[in-house]
Formats: sequence, structure tokens, C-alpha cells
Amino acid sequence: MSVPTMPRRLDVRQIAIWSAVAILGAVAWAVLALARGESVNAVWMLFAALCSWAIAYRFYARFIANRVLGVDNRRATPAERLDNALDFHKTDRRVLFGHHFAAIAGAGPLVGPVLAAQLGYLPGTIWIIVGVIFAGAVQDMVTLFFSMRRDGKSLGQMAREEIGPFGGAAALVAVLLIMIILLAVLALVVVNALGDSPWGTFSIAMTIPIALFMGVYMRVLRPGRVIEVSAIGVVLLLLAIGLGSVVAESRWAEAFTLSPEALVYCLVIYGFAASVLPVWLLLAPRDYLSTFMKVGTIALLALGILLTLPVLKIPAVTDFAFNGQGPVFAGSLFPFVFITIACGALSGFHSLIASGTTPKLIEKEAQVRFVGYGGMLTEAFVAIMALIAASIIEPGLYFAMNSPAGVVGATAESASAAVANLGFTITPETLNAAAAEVEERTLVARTGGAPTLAIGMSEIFSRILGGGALKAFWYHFAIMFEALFILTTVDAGTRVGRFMLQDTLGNLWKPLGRPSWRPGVYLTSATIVGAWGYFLYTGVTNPLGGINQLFPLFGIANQLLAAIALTVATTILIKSGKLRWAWVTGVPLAWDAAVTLTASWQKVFSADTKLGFFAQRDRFQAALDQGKVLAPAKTLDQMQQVVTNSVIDGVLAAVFALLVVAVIVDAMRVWVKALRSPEPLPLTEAPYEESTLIAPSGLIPTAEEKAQMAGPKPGGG
Amino acid sequence: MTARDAAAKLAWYLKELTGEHDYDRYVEHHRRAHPDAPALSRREFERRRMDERDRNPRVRCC
Repeated sequence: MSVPTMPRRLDVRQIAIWSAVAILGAVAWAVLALARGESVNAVWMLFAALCSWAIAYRFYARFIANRVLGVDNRRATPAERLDNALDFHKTDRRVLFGHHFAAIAGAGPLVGPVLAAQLGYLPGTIWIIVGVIFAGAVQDMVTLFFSMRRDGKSLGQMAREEIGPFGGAAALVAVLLIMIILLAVLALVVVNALGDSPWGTFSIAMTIPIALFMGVYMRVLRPGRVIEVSAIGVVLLLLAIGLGSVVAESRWAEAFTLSPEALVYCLVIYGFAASVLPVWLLLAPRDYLSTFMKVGTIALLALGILLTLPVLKIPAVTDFAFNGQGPVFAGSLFPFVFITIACGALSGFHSLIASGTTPKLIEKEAQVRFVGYGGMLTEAFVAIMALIAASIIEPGLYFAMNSPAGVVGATAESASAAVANLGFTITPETLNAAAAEVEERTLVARTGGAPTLAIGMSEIFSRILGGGALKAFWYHFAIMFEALFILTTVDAGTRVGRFMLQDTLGNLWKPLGRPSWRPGVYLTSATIVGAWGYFLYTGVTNPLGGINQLFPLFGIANQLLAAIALTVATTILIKSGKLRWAWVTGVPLAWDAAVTLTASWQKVFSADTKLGFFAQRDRFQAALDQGKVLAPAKTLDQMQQVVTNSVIDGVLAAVFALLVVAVIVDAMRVWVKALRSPEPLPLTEAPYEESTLIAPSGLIPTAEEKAQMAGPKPGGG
Repeated sequence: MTARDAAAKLAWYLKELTGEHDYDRYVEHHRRAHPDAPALSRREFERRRMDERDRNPRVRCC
């Protein structure tokens, strides 16, 4: 019916600009790739990233939107057609970008890259930059587009309709399982950051009364005044962080020094309470607070890196990339750098959000490029900054912090010796001094990525404001920033998980499906919290290190969900007769499937006892049968724990892999059917309706769009 | 663009983002669609919106 707008011929000015961008990017890449031994400045990573992404957004994203997807601004979006001022309503693209980004931005791009720094800065950098261009941002954009064309259908629904009921059911099960692991791993990051840290625990504990206050304030005193109450909340938050320092040195310090096990109970109770209390009381104010803190801190970090121009200290590539014997997580560069970085480059979870509320709000079809592709690029930007923050730390300190206690022990001396074994150096004095600088009792074995990021951020921020005196404040500010929105994710995720469970169980027994029936709410919430709480507990008590064991599972699960999303997208492309463009989603799908199935295979079948779950189980079971205790376990009970955890984790890895293979195989059946069929298969898109809305397609309106929006000239024919 | 323009644009953006303009839009829409019926008060409107979120939880990502 209507022809998608072809990109205008580039004029001389545009050619000059884009050539300059390309040259700057190429120089930055050359510096990163060729520098050996000399110190490389972090700013080269930033330039390589920004230039590459600018080119990708301008050319590749536009190609996908116009030629592959065929965005049609003359076609009304569901926000225009079905506008009901509730879930469907036209939203300004810049505001929608903000909402969408706030929804997709989580701890993933902060934790993954920090852990991936184990392999050196280069592998992570390459995957974050290249992966998001060809896989992550493509997934987000095409999922958003296809969902928008189907009036905002969710990924599960699209899987069911385009692939089949089996594919749809597998997708739903995968989503629920993945959510549980995700919540457990995120909670583990928080526990590891706050364990035995009175300052941190106090500050985070204070966020609860602050949020309650904000909730009541908005409900009773000043309804709807979100900015006002958030400003008050941020000030109170900063006071709480400052107060934490006082508390940590007072006689209250003991009360707030909680062991990781104790924190597990706190988090589980909190998670349950937050998910059953009304949204306005706790979750919504936390959400506002954490969104502002998140965005504000990321902006500050970007500014900080530009102002301080720190030097990268970790090598470009470490030996662990090749021998797979790294302490942070087992496995070599392929496939584990991709698994660990996960959300920073490609995140299956985003496809749930891209097929959630965003497609129902988008004004014009062409805006999927700005919101979908652009949103994911911004997420990758966060990931690059996290990688930078981790890479500017002394490698010795990095490994002392991120290796599990089973490797580095509990004291600065044992850590120093263990780090020397790994091939890096740090003296016990330096370790103690680093901990004292940020007023933590110890930094040794503080795994999970959050403390490492906080050290990097405190280094950058203190150089701008406050110097050494404020380093402790900045460290705890960074811990607070990450823990705050992680906990909000945990609350929100528990709630969503409960809804999914209630939905599913409601088909079996009606009352459970009703959100108003309180016992059903409590039961399903408790089930979800119990599920992630169990994994959290095993993670915290695992002598092999919870992050070491569980993070790869999280990464695999996330990438497998991405495979499901890309499979749905490829299926739709083939079904709508666009076989020649199917590679746009097909190639990232093939890569993603190869990487994650290899990782799952290694996790299940590898004979390396550090890598394969079942090999690990066999080794520990054999020793247990003889009554022997293998380090790092200390008791026979712990030996049994290791055996149990290894089996469960191994089974999960296998289940994830099987689910995804099932979905892909089922989809291939549909591809063959579509390719054999003489006529195109029926589409499930919503009917075409002409659009009467005029709005810019991208961030900056073009001259043509401005003229159109100004309206017809007076006196015209 | 002057500093004041920039500040005004930022204020507009933040208000849009947090939904502070939604009530005014609702009142406008209501006045045109149902001129006789009284519109909800700000408090009532915000409460209903918040309670709606109880029924449709927002996903927050990883």
C-alpha cells in the first residue's frame, strides 16, 4: 500500500561528518587492539563504542527499520487506533524512551561486564560493542515492532501464535524459570555487597522507611507529585548514606553487621512483604527513587570518566580467557564471555519488556528505531562504563575481591598468596589499606560485582569531588545506588512472577487466579519468594561461591530467552515472505544458540570438575562416600550441600537448553511449512488503518517533519 | 537555546516522564467527552492509577 521512506541521499556535509566518526572509531579500535603492555586510556573504549554505535544506529538500524521490517508511518499504531487513556495511549517518543529505558536498565549491564573483566578488558569490550549492534539492539527493536503490529501481544502469545502451542508453552515455562534464577542472582549480589558491612546495611535498611514515607506522602498529602516527593527522597537517601558512616562507628554497628545468611532471611521477608503490600505504599516510591538514582548516577559516571580519563590497569586479555581456569567463573572466552556479559549486549529479558507496555504506547511505527534500538544501545553504554570502572582497578585487588572465599580465604594474607597463585600481585597491606579507605572491614572475597564497581566508581568520583576523604562516601553511595534498584527489581519481579503463577494456576483452580483473593495472593507470593529464596540461600552458603556457581546459569537462561525471541522474530519474517532478510535475526539467533548451547553442554557434560556441574558432583560425591572433606568445603554437611547444589544446577542448565532446542525445532517446522507453501501463511497482524497523527520518527525532527507538524500553509490548495 | 529554555524543557520532560501532566490531560479529555459529569479529583485520579498498577505489575529488568 505505502512505500517505506527510503533514506535520502547523503549530502556532502553528512558524508564529512560520518567519515570523521568512522575514522575516530577506527583509530580507537586500533589503539585498543594493538596496544601491548603500555597503558591504554579508558577513553578509547568510550570512543570505539560511541562511534561504532553512532554508525550502527544511523545506517544498520535504519536499514532494518525501513527495508527489513517495513515501518510505515502512514499506518496507525495501536496507541492511536485503540487509544483508551489507560494502557493504550500515544506517548511522546522521548518520554517513551525514558520509560522503556528505565524498564530495561537493571543490574545486568553493571554486574556482567565487571565479572567478565576476569578475561581482560578486550573480549568484553568487543562483545559489548559488536554484540549489541547485531544481536541485542536488533532483538529489542524487532520484538517491539512485531508486538506493536499485533496490538501489544506478549512474547509468549506471539510464540504460541506464530510457532505453535508447544513453542508458546515452552516460552512461558522458560520465562518463569529464568525469572526465579534472575531474582536469586540479583539478591545474591546485594547480599554479598552488604554482608558484614554495617554502613551498607544501615543505608539500605533506611530506604524502607524513606519509601514508606514517600508512599504515604503521595497517597495522602500531595497526590501525583512524583518529582517533588522523589527530590525529598533523594535528599533523605544521601543523608542516610552519610549517617551510615556515623552508625558504623557507633555502638549500633553490631546491630547492622549482618552475616550473609542473616541477610538472606531479611531479604526473603522483605521480598514477601513488598510484593503483597499495596503498590502505592512501598514499591512505587522505591521505583521512582531507584529510577532517578539509576539514571542520575549513570550520567555522573559518564561525566566522571570523561573528566578523569582513567587508565586501564587490567590487561587486554588474561590467561583465563584461554585456559578457562579463572576464579570468578569457570570457562574460557568462548562461550563464557558472552554468557557473562549477557544483558550488556543481548538480553532475552528485554524482549518481555519490548512486548509489554511499550508497543501499546508508541506513536509512530518508525519510532521503534529510536525507542527499541536506541534504548538497547544506551544499555550497552552503561555496560561499557561498568567494564571501564572494573578495568581501572589494580588487577590484584580485582581478583582478591572477586574470587570466592574458597580460593582467597578470609584474610588479607591468604588473599595475597592466592592472588599471587593466579599470576597477579597485591600485598596484604595494600588490601587492608584499600578496605580502610572505603571503611569496610574487608574487601576480600566480596564477590558479585557490586563492590568492585563501587571501588571503581569511588576512584572516579573521589577524583572529581572530595578526594580521598570522600572515597568511603562514594563507595557506599555506589553500593546504595546498585542495591536500591536491584531490590526494586526483586520486588517487581516477585510481583510479576506471582501474577504469572496466579494466571497459570487460576486455570486449574479459579480462586487462585483472582487477584482480590488474599490467601491466593499470599500463597503464590510465598511460592515465588520461596523459589528464589532457596537459590539465594544455596548461593550464599555454597563453599564454591554462589556467584561462581549461579551467575553462569543466569547468563545461560537470559541468552536462551533471547534465542526464543529471535526465533519468534525469524519465524515472523519467514512467514511474511521476507526470507531474504531473515538473516538479520537468523544470524544472531544462530550465534546465540551456538554460544549458549555450547555453554550448557559444557556445564552439563564437561569432565573439568570446575566447569561441569555433574563432574563436580561426582568428584565431591566420591570423596563424601569415603568420608573425606574436599576444600573448599569444610564439613561433611558442606560436602553434601555441594553435591545437592551441583545436581540441581546441572539439571537446570539441561532443562534450559532442552526448552530452547524444543522451541527452535518447533519453529523450524513452521519455517519449512512457510517456505513450501505456495501462498504466504496467514499473518496475525492487526488490521491496517490510516494514521492521522504526525510526529517525528527519531529524536530530532527533520525539516520535513517540522513542516508537516506546522500544518498546511494558509491559502494553500 | 538559553539556560531558562533548557531548564523549562527539562522540567517538561521530567513531568511527562513521571506522569504529572496526565491529570490535566484527563480533565481536558473528560470535559470534552462528558461535559456534564464531574471529573475525578486529583487525589481520586492518582489513587485509581496507582491501584491499577496493583493489578498490572510493571516488569523491571535484570
